[in-house]
Amino acid sequence: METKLEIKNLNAWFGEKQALKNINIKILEKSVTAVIGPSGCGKSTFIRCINRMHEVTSGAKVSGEVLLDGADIYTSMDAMDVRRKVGMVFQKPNPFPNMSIADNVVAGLKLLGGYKKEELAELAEKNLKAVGLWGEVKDELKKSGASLSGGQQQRLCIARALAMEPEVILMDEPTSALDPASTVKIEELVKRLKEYTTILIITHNVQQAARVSDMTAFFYLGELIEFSETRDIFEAPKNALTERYITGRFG
Amino acid sequence: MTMKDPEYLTRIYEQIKEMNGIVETVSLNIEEGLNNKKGNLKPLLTDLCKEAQIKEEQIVEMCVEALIRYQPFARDLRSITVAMKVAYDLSRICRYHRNISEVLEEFNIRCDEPALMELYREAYNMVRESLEAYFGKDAKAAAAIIKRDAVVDEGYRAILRKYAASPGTSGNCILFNGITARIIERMADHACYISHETIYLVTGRRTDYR
Amino acid sequence: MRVISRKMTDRLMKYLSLLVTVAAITPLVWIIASIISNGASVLSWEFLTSLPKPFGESGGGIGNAILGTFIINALASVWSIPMGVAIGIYLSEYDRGSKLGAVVRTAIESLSGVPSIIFGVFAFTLIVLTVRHYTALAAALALGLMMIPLVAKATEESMKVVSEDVREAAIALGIPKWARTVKIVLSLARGGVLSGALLAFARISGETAPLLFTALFSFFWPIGLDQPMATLQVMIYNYALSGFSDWVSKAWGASLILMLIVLTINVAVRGVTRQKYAEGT
Repeated sequence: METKLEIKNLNAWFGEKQALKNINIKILEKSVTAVIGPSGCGKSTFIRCINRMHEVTSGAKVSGEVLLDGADIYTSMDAMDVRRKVGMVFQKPNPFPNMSIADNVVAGLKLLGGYKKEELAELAEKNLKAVGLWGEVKDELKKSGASLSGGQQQRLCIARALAMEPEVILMDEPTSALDPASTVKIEELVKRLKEYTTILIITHNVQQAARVSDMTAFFYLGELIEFSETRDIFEAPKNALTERYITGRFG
Repeated sequence: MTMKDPEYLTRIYEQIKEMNGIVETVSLNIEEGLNNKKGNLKPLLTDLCKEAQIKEEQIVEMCVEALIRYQPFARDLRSITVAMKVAYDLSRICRYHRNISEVLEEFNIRCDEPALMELYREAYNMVRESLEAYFGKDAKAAAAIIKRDAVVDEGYRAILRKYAASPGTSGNCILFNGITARIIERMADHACYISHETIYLVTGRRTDYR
Repeated sequence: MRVISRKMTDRLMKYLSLLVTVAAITPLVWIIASIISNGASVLSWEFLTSLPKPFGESGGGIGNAILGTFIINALASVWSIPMGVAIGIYLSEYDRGSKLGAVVRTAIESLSGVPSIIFGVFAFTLIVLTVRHYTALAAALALGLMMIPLVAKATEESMKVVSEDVREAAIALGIPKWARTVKIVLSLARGGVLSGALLAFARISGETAPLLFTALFSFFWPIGLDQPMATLQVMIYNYALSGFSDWVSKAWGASLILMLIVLTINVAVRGVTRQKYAEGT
């Protein structure tokens, strides 16, 4: 499998405070990579450097290269283009409350412009089906996006990200605000999605990382401590820190 | 890499130690039996080995419960799978001792064979030390034990060769010594399995058995 | 003993709050009741559509004042509301603690504190003295200036309240800033923005001082934007103080009309936004 994302010497700061130290990692296409580590280890900062959202915070700085299919997202592309190719799903589901379910799915496309009404309706259906929501909402497409349950809202947000046909989807603890049944649905969805997109998922639940991912990256205090196949990390991690974290002996 | 064992693991180890205690008792009896100092061992050993088997089932139960409750990873996970294997190996080792007591009863003859006694002692030392290495999480000691298996194998073959070469010995003693030596050799193999598991527990890597 | 007194305290507080509420509503109810009772009798088709008759003659109406009020309020709104919204958007979404932001904020704060007569004098000096006659355009300027701070403040506050989550979602989709700001954030904030605009409209509907310096008054139908124009506010002011009982009753009638206008626009705008919100329930 090809390398989708290659990150070289990535450093990131919030003003004077350094949040990421010299990160080097290669993510293969159509894989699910779990990003784990204790609070404040830089996981969120790391993925926000991949869709250039880190720089939105005032005082934020980045150095190094993030190559998406070989092209550096910081120098060869405009931030807006990067975000269209690298989608993001947040911890707290955030559908647009003043838009209907169908409009939410195609929000990114609609605001880009250039799509006909029928095209948008088809795309809404297609992406709602892809996340397994179609059956549940097909008779209520005009209802507000915020009228769904938490788990449904999150799947709606995933559909919204999917509609942009991204190369990579970043998920920041997508199930930590959801109940177990919704969590299972979303984990299954992630495993299906890797057929056509590359996924990075932050999770503070190591069992989830073990269930869902092919590769696992362990971060600590802004450094990448260990990165290997999930099976290997969870059976016999090479680094003592990694072992302490995944066996719950941290803190 | 000194991570303390979680409490559920400590309790499992206690049970394995008790099982080891039973095997030690069994071994003492067999040694006396082989020295012709004690007879009628079969009933005693049958009871002791039953006790050992109950312990083994208990240990497996505790391991499954630990998996359910704690969903362990890394060393904790390896500790559980290894504990189940070691319990199994111990029960087999007990079983072999029982087999020796059955052979003793069946043949009921004196066949003084110092080589057999030595073989037994060497094999049982391997068993004892493999458990020490296991409880002590000592991969180096475990690796050393594995090397001694060759010695036991050679000892076993030597006994067979001896009888093949000098047909003067009573036929029954040939059988007796041959069968017993074979049982002893298998016992040493299990000591090796325990050692392999100890290495896997400590390093996370599996080495080649066969 | 303690339990009883706690219950009593509860009841006491309950009745106290009711009392205070009634006390607060009473003046409002009284005013509305007085206006209705005094003004209703004057209302008639002639009253609403005809020009005022000269002093001493009975009959006539406030038709030109009604039209004039509409025209001037509309003129003021047409330039000040977009400006106020734009300033509010800037302060909420684009200002990052910069000097310009601080200056704008101070300006808005100051503007909202200025007595209305000053706006009148300002417009008078700027326009009326230059063109050498009273003009409705000057009124639009003065009243508009009064509206801007209210609209800007309301816009800024409403947009600030929009959850950061929503902005993040929009950023992550690669939507450019202006599109996010207008089509998503502003759209979510529109309730507050409209309230601000309504509030501003209601405020200028009650201001007379600036009009005295700018549009002044006229006994004729509005002829042009650059001419003096009748307004309900000024008419009420003139007629109420006149001492002529016919004019005083006309003043009550005009007050009733003015109140109805503000009320109607209020209800109409709320109705329109509610429809748009139907999806959002």
